[in-house]
This record gives sequence, structure tokens and C-alpha cells, in this order.
Amino acid sequence: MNEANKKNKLAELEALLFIYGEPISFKKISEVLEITEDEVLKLIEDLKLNLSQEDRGLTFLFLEDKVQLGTKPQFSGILEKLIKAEISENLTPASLETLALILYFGPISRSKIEYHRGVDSSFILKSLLLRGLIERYPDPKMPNAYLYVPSFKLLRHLGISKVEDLPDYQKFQELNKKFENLSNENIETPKQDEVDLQINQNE
Amino acid sequence: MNNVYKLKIFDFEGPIEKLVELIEDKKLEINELSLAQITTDFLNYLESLTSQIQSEENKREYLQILSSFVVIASRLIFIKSKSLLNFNLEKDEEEEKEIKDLEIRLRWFQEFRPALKIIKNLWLKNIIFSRSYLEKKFVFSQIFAPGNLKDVSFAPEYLNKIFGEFEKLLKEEKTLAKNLISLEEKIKSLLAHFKLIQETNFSKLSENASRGELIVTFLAILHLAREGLILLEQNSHFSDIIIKKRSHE
Repeated sequence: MNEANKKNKLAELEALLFIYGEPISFKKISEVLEITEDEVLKLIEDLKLNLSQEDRGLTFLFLEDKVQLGTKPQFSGILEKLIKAEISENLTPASLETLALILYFGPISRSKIEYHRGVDSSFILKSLLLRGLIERYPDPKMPNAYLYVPSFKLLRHLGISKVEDLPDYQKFQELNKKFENLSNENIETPKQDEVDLQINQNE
Repeated sequence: MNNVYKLKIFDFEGPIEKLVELIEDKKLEINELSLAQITTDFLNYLESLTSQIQSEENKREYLQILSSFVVIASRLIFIKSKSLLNFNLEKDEEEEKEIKDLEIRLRWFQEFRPALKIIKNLWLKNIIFSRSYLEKKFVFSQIFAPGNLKDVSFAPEYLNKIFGEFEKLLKEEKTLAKNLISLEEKIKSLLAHFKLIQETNFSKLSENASRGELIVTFLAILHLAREGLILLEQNSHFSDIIIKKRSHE
């Protein structure tokens, strides 16, 4: 791409994200704009830099291979005034435990969540799915099991662009590594047959 | 069924978090000894949980979740009884492993616990707003594609046509409003008229009257005749109707 073409594509990308509104995959962008996925990623980096300036009101949200345009979190107040939305959804202790695990360690299986919380979590997961705060997809490594990930809605509610922006994200990743070895020495967690049994009961 | 997603038991911490909290409250380290010490506290928590959720409608779901708490409680009771009886006689490897496992999970959660506070503090503080897909609502369904946009001379003509349609509707409304006479009004006016005269005929009454008024007048005299206030006479088919005031003798 030459410089003029690049500028043009940058504008096209912004227009596309505006029209689309919802999260869109890099793949789809590359199809629509007729450029490679690598070029898409580069364009997004450029646009991100552009948006990070003080005189821009928008920001990017990233999750896995998707991107979405949103308003910068510091303007939350203005928009709440405008839409007069009563946003007072509470997080119960059970939701908080589950969401924190999914945010810091997603994609994460139900059995792993239950191992850390020490309690059956099928209903809280259903509740959070229903509220649109999390999403799930089949675990490629294990049939009949799902992996849970945060949703764009959850990121927006927390005012973060991507999970890696969560405070102490790296610190908690290391914590998991530290304990993985420790628990492997003890009991393999969770036991394979136990997991299968639970899934058969609930799904 | 929707209630399942609002189970009251969600208002409680999970057993692992609760245990970490109980141990931290007593400023203890996580080990077998401290677990034995907080067993009573955990059993009290389990009891308050059970009594507070007795009204729970979703019995099956509630029991399923509660059973996890009972599993942890039973493990604690085992640890406690072991510490009380002080039996180191036979070492059951499976049991040792389970206790060790619980300790590891508690230490893990203890280190993870600050993350919960982080999420709680971020929740709904500074929301990022976004919009839903515009396509269906806006871009395609309401698109206006007149073809050659360089030539807009067609615009005034079409605009006039559009406004013309509105004007038709308005005129029609006006006509109706002007000529609207109620039957009641007509009867009253006829009665007033018959106070002054004794006899008249239909063609005189309906002189210069519109079609609508003609009908109303006709209905009015029929009504008055039925009431016995006037007499109607017609000498032959389609001849004028003679209307006479009925005298009250």
C-alpha cells in the first residue's frame, strides 16, 4: 500500500467500524476492505494511535480476533446524562468470583472455575451468559465441554479496551503458573472422569 | 424458570472464598491447624446460608449448589476431628492428598482475591458505550436512490406531487366539516319553523340544500311525523310532500 492508498483505507476502516457498530473480526474487515489481515492489524494500530489523541472521543475494544468501536470511558458521565439510563446492575459475590476468573484466565472451562470457587457453577454461568456478560464456545480439546470468555459488553461495563489492560493482569497470569506446578504434584486437577460425569448431568 | 438465574444463593461467596475470608479474619496462615480452627465458623456460615435461603423456589438448583458447600464442610470436619483425636497412626494417602489440595486451592484464592476487588471497583464506573449494527435499521432499508444525482431538476415536481397528496386530504376534511348538520339540530330548526307556519312542503324546506342536508331534512320530518307533531301527505308517487302542522285540539 502506498501512502495515499493507506490513508484512504484508514478512513474506510473507520467508516466500516462506525457502520458495523458491533464487534467485527479482523477476517471480515480484510474481506470487506480487500486487504490482507496483516494490513488490517497495521491499520488498526494506526487508527488506534490516532484515536488515542486527546481530541478524539472514540476508542477500540479488543477481544480475541474481534474489534469494536466505543466511546472513551472518561465520557461515561456525559452519555449517561444523555440517555438517562439507570445502570445499576449489581454484581453478587458469586458473579464477582466467576467474572474475575473468566476475565483474568479466560478462555476457561467450567470445571476450572468450579475448582477455584469450590462450588457448582453451572447456574451462575447460565445467569451470566443470559446477562450477556460472558460468552462460551466448545472446547476444541474436549468434546461436550465449553470454554468461557468475557464478552464485549463486560469489557464496556468495566471501561477497559482489552483484558490485558486489567490492573495486575500479568501478575495474576504468573500466579496461575506458579500454582499449576504445585497442584500437578499433588492431585491432577480436575480429574477427567469427574468432569465428564458433571457435564453429563448438566448439559 | 427465569428465577433460576436469580438464585439467592448467588448472594453468597463460594466456599473457597469464604474460607479464605475466615482465615484472614483471624489473621491465620493457611494450614491444617487453621482449617481445624475455623471449622465451626464455616459450619455457622453454612447454617445461616441454609436458613436464609429456605424460601428459595428453585429447590433442585439450590440443593445442587448447596451440596458443594457440604462437601467442603465434611472435609473440614474430618480435619478438625483428626486434630482433636490426634491420630497419626495410619496415614491414608488419599485423605492426605485431599487436605493438601484444599490448602493449595485456598492459597491460590488468597493471592487471587485482590482481583475481585479490582473488578468490583471497575464495574460500571466508566462505561464504554457502543452502538448496535446499523445495517438493518438504517443503511439499507431507508436508503434513497434516485439514480443520477447530478440532475436534481426532478425534485420540485415530485415534492409538489407529494404535497398535493396532503392537500387533497385536507380539502376533503374541510368540505365535510362545513356541511355537517346533525339530525337533532335539524329537528329543532324545523320545530321552530312550524311555530310560525302551518303548512309547507318538502321542496320548500330543502331549497338550495346540499345532498347531505336533503337527507337530514327528510329524516327529520319522518321523525317528527312519527312523534305525531306533523302530518305528511303525498298525492302521487314522486310528487312533493306536503307537511302540515298537527293542531292540538
